[in-house]
Amino acid sequence: MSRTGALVVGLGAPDRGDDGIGPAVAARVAAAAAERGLTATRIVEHEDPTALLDLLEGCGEDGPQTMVVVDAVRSSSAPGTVIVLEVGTSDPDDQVLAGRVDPGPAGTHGFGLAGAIELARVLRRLPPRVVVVGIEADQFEHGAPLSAEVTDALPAAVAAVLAALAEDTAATLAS
Amino acid sequence: MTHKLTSGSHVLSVETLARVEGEGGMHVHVQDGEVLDVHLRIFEPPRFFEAFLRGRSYTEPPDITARICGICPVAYQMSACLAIEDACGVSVPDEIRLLRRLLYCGEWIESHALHIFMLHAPDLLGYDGAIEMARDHRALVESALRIKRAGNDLMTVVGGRSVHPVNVRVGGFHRLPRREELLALRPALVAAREESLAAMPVLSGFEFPDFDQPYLYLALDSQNGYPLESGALITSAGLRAPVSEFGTHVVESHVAHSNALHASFDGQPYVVGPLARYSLNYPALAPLAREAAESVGLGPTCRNPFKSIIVRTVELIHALDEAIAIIDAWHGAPLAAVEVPARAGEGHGATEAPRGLLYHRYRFDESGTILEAEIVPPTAQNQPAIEADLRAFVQDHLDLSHEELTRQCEVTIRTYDPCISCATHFLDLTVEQV
Repeated sequence: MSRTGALVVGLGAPDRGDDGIGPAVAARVAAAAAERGLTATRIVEHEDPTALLDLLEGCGEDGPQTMVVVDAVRSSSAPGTVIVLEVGTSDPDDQVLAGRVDPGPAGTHGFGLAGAIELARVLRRLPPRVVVVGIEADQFEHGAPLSAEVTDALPAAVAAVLAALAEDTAATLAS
Repeated sequence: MTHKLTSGSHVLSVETLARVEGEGGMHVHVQDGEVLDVHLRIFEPPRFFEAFLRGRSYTEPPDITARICGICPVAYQMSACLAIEDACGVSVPDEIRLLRRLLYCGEWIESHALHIFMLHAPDLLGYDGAIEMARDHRALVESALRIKRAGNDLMTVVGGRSVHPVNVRVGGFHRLPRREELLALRPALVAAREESLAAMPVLSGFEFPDFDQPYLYLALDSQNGYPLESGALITSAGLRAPVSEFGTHVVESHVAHSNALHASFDGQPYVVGPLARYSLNYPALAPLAREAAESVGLGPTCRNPFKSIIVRTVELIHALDEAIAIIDAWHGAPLAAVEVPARAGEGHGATEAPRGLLYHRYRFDESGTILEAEIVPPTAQNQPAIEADLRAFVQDHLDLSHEELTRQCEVTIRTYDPCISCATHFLDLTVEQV
């Protein structure tokens, strides 16, 4: 058995303002993947980053080669800015993300994205390549739609996910 | 450098509490060996759910209030349904009540597994958090994730989704789960029950501070089993009252240092949650859960907040055992929901969220439009008791270093599993040293 394909996870709540960008991007990536015949790509929408641990459970050496996680971020950039982070390898000693993003107070609702990725890494569940596509959010109001700036960033965010998947496909073909 | 707090003026402070939900802090002022002020500060801006609900239809609170909290949406849905059905003069048949208990078991399993293993155990094992703990205790964390997942899957099947269930409606459910769907959950629930039982000696084997407190406990009674989706109010002072009298005993007031309201019961701080439920309803626990408690020397009452990890594990075992029992006995229901016609009036509902009793009250006009809504979450009720605990704990441990005492204060707060997001209608910890 060997690792193949990719897992795309759009994180966020659709009715919490810009928090809905993750699922919105995942839906568009799903449409694009169907058009391009990317059958080895599994695309999931979820509200809870802790779900990453369940999605990667039992994958072992049969799991995806790449995981792309799309989520709203707050980094003091302009709203709608798309940030692509390669967050290291599956090596538990390679705490790349922990070094760059404070896993922060996890809360009792589970883990934040950085916490979930680092816990998955320690538990040896992480695929060899993990890419985080973050979209700078403006607001997280209950019942609000995406802000104009974040809506405008949708094509760039989808393109960033597809680019990450294309690199994965190219690497597989080359190997 | 460490120094003791027995002389001079000291402020222990934590600006942002870790491993609690929402934003809050702690501030404790010590002067010449005496604790002067203890403030649990809550920074998250108030949520105006109660105002938002006014003018909406009586059918909407279960879906709207479920959004208040990502870990206890079922609690919000259940308390809302009970209050609305109370106002409309409807009670649901036993099958629907049992299905509500089953869904609620899913929420308890998910929430308790997370708190026990990921949020409380790192404190007791001396780690900064679950990630650091997982490096040395991988099997324990893997086990926790499997247990939690059994709860998630139960929520998905009965509630429609694992995060914010969509299958609940006033009067019952939109859709009944099929027996085979429920039976498919059984192996994971049985395995989770075994793993929870196996974890009990580890989770109860820590050195807990000797810290029994004279709490006034409030919980629902066990007329329909261990308190969960229904029941009347009972207290450790011997009071028994219908849920409709909640407002005559519980008074909420604003305090300057917090966005959350502070609650008191007949003028006293009080405690809701696992310790209260357990101590007031021990005989109603599943025999397996009672045996697990007995096996580690936990008596029929518990007044030490640090031992809440043991009580939560007992409740986790109970929830898994009861979920299995409900599934085994499930043979469907004639109707997914009963009709709940609108009428003018007021209704009260209380159920046991993982963190404690959650009260809802609504007043409707004759068309079912909401005129008034009141929600009293568990963390707001516990906040004065948490402050009283901090005061007592700091006073008893002034010989500890500033750093260690601050850490222990954070641990004390986390034993309550406070949900500040819910309480803001509600944490950072500041112990002050000047």
